[in-house]
Amino acid sequence: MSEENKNPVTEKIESTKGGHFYKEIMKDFRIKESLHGCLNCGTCVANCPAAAFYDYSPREVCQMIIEGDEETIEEYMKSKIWNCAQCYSCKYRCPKENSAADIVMAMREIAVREGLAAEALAGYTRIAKLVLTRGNQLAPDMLSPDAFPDWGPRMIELSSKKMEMREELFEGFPGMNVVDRAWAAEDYTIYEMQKIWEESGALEKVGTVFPFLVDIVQDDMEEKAEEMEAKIQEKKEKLEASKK
Amino acid sequence: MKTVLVIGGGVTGLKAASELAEMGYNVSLVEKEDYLGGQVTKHKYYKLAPDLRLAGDVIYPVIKAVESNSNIKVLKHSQITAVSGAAPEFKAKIKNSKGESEETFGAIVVATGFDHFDPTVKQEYGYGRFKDVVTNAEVEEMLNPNGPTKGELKRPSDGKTPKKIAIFQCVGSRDRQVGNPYCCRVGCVVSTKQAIEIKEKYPDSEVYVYYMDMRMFGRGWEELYGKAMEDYEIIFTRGRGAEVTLKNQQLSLRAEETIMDRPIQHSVDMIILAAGMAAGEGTIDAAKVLGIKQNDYGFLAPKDDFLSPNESSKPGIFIAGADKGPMDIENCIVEGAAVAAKVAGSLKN
Repeated sequence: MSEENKNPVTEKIESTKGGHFYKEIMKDFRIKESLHGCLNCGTCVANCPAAAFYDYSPREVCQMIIEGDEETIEEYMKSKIWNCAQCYSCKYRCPKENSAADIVMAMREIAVREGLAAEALAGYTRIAKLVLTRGNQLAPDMLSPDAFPDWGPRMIELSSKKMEMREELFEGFPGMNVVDRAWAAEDYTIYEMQKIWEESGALEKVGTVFPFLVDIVQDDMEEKAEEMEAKIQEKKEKLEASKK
Repeated sequence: MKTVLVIGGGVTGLKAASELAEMGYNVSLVEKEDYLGGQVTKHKYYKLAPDLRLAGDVIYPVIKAVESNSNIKVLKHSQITAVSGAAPEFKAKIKNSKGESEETFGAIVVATGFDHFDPTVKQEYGYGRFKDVVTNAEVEEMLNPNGPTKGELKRPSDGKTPKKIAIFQCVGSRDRQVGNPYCCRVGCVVSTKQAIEIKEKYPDSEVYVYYMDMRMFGRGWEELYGKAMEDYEIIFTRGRGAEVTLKNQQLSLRAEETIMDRPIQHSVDMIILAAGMAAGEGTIDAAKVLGIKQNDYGFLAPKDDFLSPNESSKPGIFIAGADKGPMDIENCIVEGAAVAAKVAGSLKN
């Protein structure tokens, strides 16, 4: 009879502390500032808005790092850490001045880098696409009163007039007279932004989570490239001329 | 015969004064308030853990031993404003309503004690905002028949007896956020004692204690803890009280039930904060006037914690009791006697 069969309930602890992900996390400069042992008092969990609704516990995050089990860390990086809302309530209430929020932030960066985040972030594809192709993702159109009944009947009335209201509010700012996005950035601005992402390596990082988004952005850039590069050249020449 | 100056008329100072007087020394006992007995008298401590004997049965004999001894001069409403000289001849300025006078002393005993931690700092507990969030010192006053409510536990908001009572442990202790990472050393047993007193007086009430660890290291403390669970059905929940809000005139607390691994919300009628110990105002003043060393938290630092626990950083100035750090009454009395022996020894040389 094997050991497991004899005692099916007892969990066998085999420490695997010191694995690759654990080492990567401990390398982050934030960890030392964010973990000073843990009293297991539960103050963080009691104050945590994410813990009230999701399968997430800042206390567990601290305990997981203290224990350092590689398999558990990997599991957390794939799922649980993405439930944190980064409100930092844990940090400002913890009697040990720990910050699960900072640990989570460091772990998220590593999860992205190590290609563990794709599944957890799949739901954010739309947002990422909008940010990468438009520069912003929130729009007045998204805030439909049907989805937020607690806003009351006045919102229904206001919502039907949102275009008129924006036109009045932002007279003289044509980019603001839209309701399908927060504001309409100029093509040139978007191109410039995409160029920065590409050259800084940020786009490549996005690619580890949303590979197809890289193609979308690159297609988007290609379409505009000729016109925009000419514009950049023109600007450069103007700048040179002004220097002389 | 040299005269000894004892600063502070709490348990430790009283015990030190009477022990020294019994050995034949003259003692001047300086107390800033107009009563003796320190925090025990100030907050009308009612019963003492773990035996639930009356605090008066302990404190009155100690006061009487001082008041009935002709070798002791008790100076109430007095404060030391300046000290000069060195052992064995100190010159201390004593200020009171009659004016300022200077006297010479052979040795000085500092027994200036502690102050209850002020929980207003922990604003998430709502002390000062919500009337029915009270401190453990206020509960002592309430439970004492000579107190403001004549021994009845009453909600400050409406004067009614609360049915559901929660006690928060470690308020202002074991907490880096308020700069007090140390343990108050008495909160656990005091809360257990108060919970039993409440259940004894109001058997229908429900008492919940929110704790991190119950540190029952004193004489008879663990047994009292057992009694609280077995005989009084007090509910101990392992999770630190995290936040208090007021919903529809009802107090609501948040915590994590750490053993069951879930956040909880609990509606109660009254919340008692087991506020810990902070260095007393008198202790901080004494350190300044005498120029003796304090530790990181404002308490007085002994010359050597193990080998000379009652000597300050300056020769001829001795320290004892809760001005050195959190201490219970039982140990304060031991400290008072210990410092008296040390002073007597130093004056003989």
